[in-house]
Amino acid sequence: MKPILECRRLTKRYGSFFALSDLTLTLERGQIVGLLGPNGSGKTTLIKLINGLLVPTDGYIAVDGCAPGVETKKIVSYLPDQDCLGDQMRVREAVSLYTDFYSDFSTERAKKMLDALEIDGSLRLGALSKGTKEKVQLILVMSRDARLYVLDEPIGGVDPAARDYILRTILTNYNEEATVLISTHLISDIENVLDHVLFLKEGRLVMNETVDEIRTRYGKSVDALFREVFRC
Amino acid sequence: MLGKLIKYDLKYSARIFLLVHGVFLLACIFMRLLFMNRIDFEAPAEKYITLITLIMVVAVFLLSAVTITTALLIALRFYRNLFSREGYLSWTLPASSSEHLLAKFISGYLIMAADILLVAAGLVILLTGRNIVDAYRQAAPELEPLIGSTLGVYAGKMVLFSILFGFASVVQIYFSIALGQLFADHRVLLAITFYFLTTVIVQILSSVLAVITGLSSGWFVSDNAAFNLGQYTDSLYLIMGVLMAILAVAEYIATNYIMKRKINLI
Repeated sequence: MKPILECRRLTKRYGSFFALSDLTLTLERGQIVGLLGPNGSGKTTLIKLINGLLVPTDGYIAVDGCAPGVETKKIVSYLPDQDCLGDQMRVREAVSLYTDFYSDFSTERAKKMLDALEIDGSLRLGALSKGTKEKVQLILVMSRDARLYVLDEPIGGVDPAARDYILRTILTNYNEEATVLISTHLISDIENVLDHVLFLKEGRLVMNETVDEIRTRYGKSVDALFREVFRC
Repeated sequence: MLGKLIKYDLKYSARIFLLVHGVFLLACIFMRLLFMNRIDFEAPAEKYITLITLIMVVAVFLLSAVTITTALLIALRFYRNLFSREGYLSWTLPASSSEHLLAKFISGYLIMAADILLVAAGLVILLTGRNIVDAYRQAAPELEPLIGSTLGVYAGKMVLFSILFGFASVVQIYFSIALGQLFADHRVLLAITFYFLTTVIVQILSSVLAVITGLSSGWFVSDNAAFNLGQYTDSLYLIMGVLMAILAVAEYIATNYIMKRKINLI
């Protein structure tokens, strides 16, 4: 079976600045992967390349054996690091949009999660708080039966209670055959759910290990190791 | 997929479009009932010329506002949906860049065509009162030989030409925005600059074509000026139509290439 994500010498350059440089990695199925690194390390660039939002300068990238395109978009569920739903749209219209466009979207699951959070479907997204809007986006993304979930800073802008809810939502809604790639710098909050971590530094992959390997080899938590690797 | 993309484009443009055109049509009805219908064209011209001028100024202002709003609506939908934060969702829908462009083209063209028809309807409302029709009947023997047909046919041709080649305006808007996306900064400003640049290029090419085909040499003004003016307009439509169609095809292909190969959502 092909790996869910494969990058070979993947490079993204803006002028003379390398946002991502010679990145080579393979992600297998059925794991939760932390994409970790300080601001500007290339996390969002990699995520955008996976989703076909950027064109690589050089190198190769494939999702389930295919270059980013229509086929990969059918199997990748992406949560961007910013609000991508129009403010004029109502919550139930956003659900209809996902239902219309994604054949793997479960309307029932989305409605159940919205009800659990007491989010009124008739409200316009512009009227929701930042945290609630992020929850709506996460609910939409996690209501798909995707093969690869790519979550860019899913817990960055919400309070600790909401973080717990979001992590629970991720854990209870993803198919065990699927892979979840989570980008964040709030490592201690998600460390317990991760199987594997990727450390990015200045556009380069500096660590690619399982969480168990990190704990046995370094005798440290991922958070502690991260602080050591990226000490300013 | 294409149908769904078009549906969502039309849905999110509908509210402003209907509001603006509704106001325009109401203003036309209002101006006809309150002012145009009360003008007595049998009276000396000095008695109504000021009112007519005022109504025409207001009508031209409203018409320009509606047309510019429509063009802005088409441009904003394209830009916001594909190149602002909404693009993070649009570009991750399971649709190809070609489908996105075709959907935007069809929805943009439908909006543009609807705008032209509604603007024409507004003018028909404004200018078809009994008093105006009677006044036109008196002027028709002088006017119709000059334009080569009835005023209705002449205006109808103008509307038909605008609808047939409205697609060229839509493609020009998309092409300018796509060109702006090739740059790292000031993308909106550059898109506006490219729009004006392409407009200037179209003007220059039209002038060159007019010289080549003899349309600018004044051959149409002869002893039988009426017939020739109608013929002149038809020839102008034909030449402009061919030029716009060629440019629109080239711009569409270039936009498609940019969207397929060069999009970087920063």
